[in-house]
Amino acid sequence: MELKSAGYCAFVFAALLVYFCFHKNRTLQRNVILVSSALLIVSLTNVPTLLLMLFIALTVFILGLAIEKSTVEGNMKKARCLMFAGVFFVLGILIYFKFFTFTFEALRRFAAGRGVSFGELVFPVGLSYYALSMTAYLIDIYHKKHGAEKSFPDILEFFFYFPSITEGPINLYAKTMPQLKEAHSFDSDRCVLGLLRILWGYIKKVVIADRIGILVTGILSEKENGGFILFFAMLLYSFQIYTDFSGGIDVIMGVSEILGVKLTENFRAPLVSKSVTEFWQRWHMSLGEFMEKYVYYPIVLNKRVMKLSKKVRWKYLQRAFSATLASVIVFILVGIWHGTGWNYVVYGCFQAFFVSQAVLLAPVWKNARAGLKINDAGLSYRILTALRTFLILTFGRYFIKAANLSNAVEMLRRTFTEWRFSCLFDGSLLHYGLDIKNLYLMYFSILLIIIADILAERKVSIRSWILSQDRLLRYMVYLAGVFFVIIFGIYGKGYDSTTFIYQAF
Amino acid sequence: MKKNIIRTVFLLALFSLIFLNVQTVLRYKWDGDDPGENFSGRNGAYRKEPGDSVDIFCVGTSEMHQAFSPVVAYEKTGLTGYNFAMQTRSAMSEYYEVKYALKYQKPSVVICDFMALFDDASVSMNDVNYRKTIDTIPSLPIKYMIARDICRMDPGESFADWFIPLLHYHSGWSELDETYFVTPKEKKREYKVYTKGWNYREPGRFDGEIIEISPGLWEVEDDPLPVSEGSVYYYDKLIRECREKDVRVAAVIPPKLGDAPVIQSHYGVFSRYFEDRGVELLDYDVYDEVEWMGLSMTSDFADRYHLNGLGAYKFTTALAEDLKELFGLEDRRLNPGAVSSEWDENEREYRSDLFSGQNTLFDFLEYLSLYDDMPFIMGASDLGTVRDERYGELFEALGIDVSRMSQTTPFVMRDEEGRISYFPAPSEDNPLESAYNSEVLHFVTSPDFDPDDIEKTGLQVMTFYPASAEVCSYSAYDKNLKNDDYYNEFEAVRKRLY
Repeated sequence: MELKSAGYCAFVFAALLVYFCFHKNRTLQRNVILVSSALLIVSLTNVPTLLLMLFIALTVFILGLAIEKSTVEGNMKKARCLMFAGVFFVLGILIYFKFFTFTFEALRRFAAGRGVSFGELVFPVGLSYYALSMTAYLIDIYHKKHGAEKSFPDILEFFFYFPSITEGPINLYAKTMPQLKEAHSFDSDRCVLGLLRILWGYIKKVVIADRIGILVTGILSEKENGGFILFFAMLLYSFQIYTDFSGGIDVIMGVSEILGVKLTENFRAPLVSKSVTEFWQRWHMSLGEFMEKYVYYPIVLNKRVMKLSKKVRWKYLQRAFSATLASVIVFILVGIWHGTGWNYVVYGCFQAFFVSQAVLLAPVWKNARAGLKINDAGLSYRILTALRTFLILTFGRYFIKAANLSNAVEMLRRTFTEWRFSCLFDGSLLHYGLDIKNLYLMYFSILLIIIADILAERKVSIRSWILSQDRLLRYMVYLAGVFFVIIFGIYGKGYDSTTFIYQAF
Repeated sequence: MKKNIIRTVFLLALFSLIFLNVQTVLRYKWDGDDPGENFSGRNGAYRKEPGDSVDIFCVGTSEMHQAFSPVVAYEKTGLTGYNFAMQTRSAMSEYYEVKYALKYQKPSVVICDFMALFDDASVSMNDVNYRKTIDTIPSLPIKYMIARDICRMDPGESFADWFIPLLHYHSGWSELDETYFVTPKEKKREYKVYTKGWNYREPGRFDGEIIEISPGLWEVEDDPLPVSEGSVYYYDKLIRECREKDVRVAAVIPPKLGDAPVIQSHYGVFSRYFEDRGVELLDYDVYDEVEWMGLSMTSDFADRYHLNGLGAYKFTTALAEDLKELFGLEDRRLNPGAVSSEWDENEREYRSDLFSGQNTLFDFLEYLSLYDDMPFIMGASDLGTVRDERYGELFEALGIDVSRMSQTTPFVMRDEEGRISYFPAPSEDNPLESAYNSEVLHFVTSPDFDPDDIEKTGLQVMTFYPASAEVCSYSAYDKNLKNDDYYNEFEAVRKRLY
């Protein structure tokens, strides 16, 4: 049951309907969420996988209680051991399924050939997301930021909250659980806002991302393509991955908003980022928040690291050393989180390089701007730096789009061959699955996304603006949006259906 | 709360209205230009048929679609019929067409060619067939059943994609042209009611590779294919559905010369299948039947497999007679009130269309020979045409002795009793002189030709170029039109003759 399928829409509608039937009963509402989550998990995987996920959740639940008990008793050593055991358990399962599944598959085939069946265990859906939520949960209990959850059904609701189970965001217990513990009654305004967000999410995913995906796939599938057309495909891929991921998140956030639960925002107009550092503050913010809290600051504030940094010769670099070290580790982990393979490690290193150089060379760049009398608040500077950042990130995406490192290097090499800008105008692009009308629609959609990000950056809420209009205009906007998706959406037979990219992570 | 509900309902109603209209525009228009492909017209007309007014209901493949003519069946035997065969080949489609049809009629017999018995019934192999069926059947419950069956056959299929056409055809926006805006209502207006679903193909000389009709054509070449379980499942359901409603079923194999050896090699399997199920098998794809019907590759076939209008005429004549005898069906014309006057009108319209649709003298003479009760007057200003050896046999079949036609007796008439008479050109003051000098061959004929009341009849004048014998003009007399010249001409001839 994909996020963009009619089945998912019907499923969500039914879940919401039943949920609000019990608007005065928090327990029953929780049970609706649990049943819905279970159904979604089974539809995406199977029953054995659901049982595995329940086992993981039960282990984390018990460990959480044990950690809390140890901290209350003052036995911090035991609490720390339990915390690390829990973290290694959860991350170990994540690492196993991410890195060693191929070994398990080979073993399974070997056993099946001899009449021994391991059942149909598949990758637990959303593991990359709730594994980090579980990790954060255990660490926060250890640090006494909150207590352990006493109710197993309640913690299940948090871990496997069905709207966010497939592609996040990565929820933190302290922010999300209090909302889940409340009973929510139906609110029509909230419902309209949520539906508008869902609609915008589907426009981004079904109309824009999947349409760009056809062209990108078409261009990249021809190995002889190189030069500007290859680079153009990667530029488009940057838009594709943004609209795909943020579209999915908008659908999730919209559903959750209707339910009355506000989840952590994952995007804040990343297209207007003026640097790679700023980009990572605007892109996949829940992952960034997790990395910042549980990786970056623990490294930066670690006594051993601080001691090590004092050994660095230049005083200026002493201050930057721990931040740089932490950034490198964070981004390597971010790269690995996206996938296995050396190309993801290089991707992480690529991001780390640009983030680190911004820290290390901050005074240099500042002096340069001052020397050249560049007004960094000026519009032209902001546009140029945004374009520069976009180009840098596009080159970085060669490493996650390619199948492996050598493939990525080959793609880069082919990019710097013959550059023919005329491919944009001579009809070359029409050979890759999109006709001229679809191509124009794609360009228009990209423009729409850029404008949307600019408006978001200026704190202009389009949803609020729509709601402030008179009823006739509102209805026209709603209907126009829905028919925009129905008519121009990329779905159904004849299209290479693409699942949400970040669902695969 | 109440206001919110009302607003929501209003919004949903508005959405539905727009949705249905957008769907009407963007959905693929299966209604084609061929008469049998006008599904909107066919379905609309079928629903208007009075109850229990159909004797023979036909389903099957394109061969049956072109072979069985309900209007000819009525003309020849007084049996009514409907043709729901399609340019597809799918047991599931045929089953659901019958299921739909039996909701509104209880025919005496359902005929089907069962050609899909050996075909893979999977969705991937029949995507277009199933799509055509589900889109053209005007019954939501049956559309639901088809979509459900498809999703059961292939769990990867999307129910919504099959059940809601807009979700399948939405990408049509990038190809919009004027054809997208043709509505079912407009297609219904174009529909020729007399076809009753029959896909009439213009007769003409077949110019492809001619197949020699001889007993050797039916020699078995290969081993038969195994029957398809999926197809057997649906054909069995079709038979059961009919039996439950006390409707008989007959398997009919129309002549398809291009596949003669293939059909013959599968005959054993066919006959066993039908014998096991107590279904009559009428096989017209055998040498004796083809000979008896007088079928010729050159004149009766549109291609190697499908009959044209002339071939359909001959085949339907034979089939209707056999069905009448086999199942004891009654000629409705013998029982006043058993058939609506519409069928007689349909017959007249068919014959009128038939003649007006002839493109060559050859075709025209072929058809004329089928109606030995139709009077005509022929005026030959160019004797070269009538003496052309290509037409010799046909004029002979009409009873015309061309040697008796000359410059002084260029006219020949056949009355309604088939009597032939030859007469000279009209007098000098008759406008026919001009026609006489224009070197063309005129025919005046009409299905309703009534020599005693010329004003009632619709005179039809076919004029042929002598050299190519192609039609150069056609006009139907209507005394409200300014066709005085023709009227005067032939009024003069009529008075003279009668």
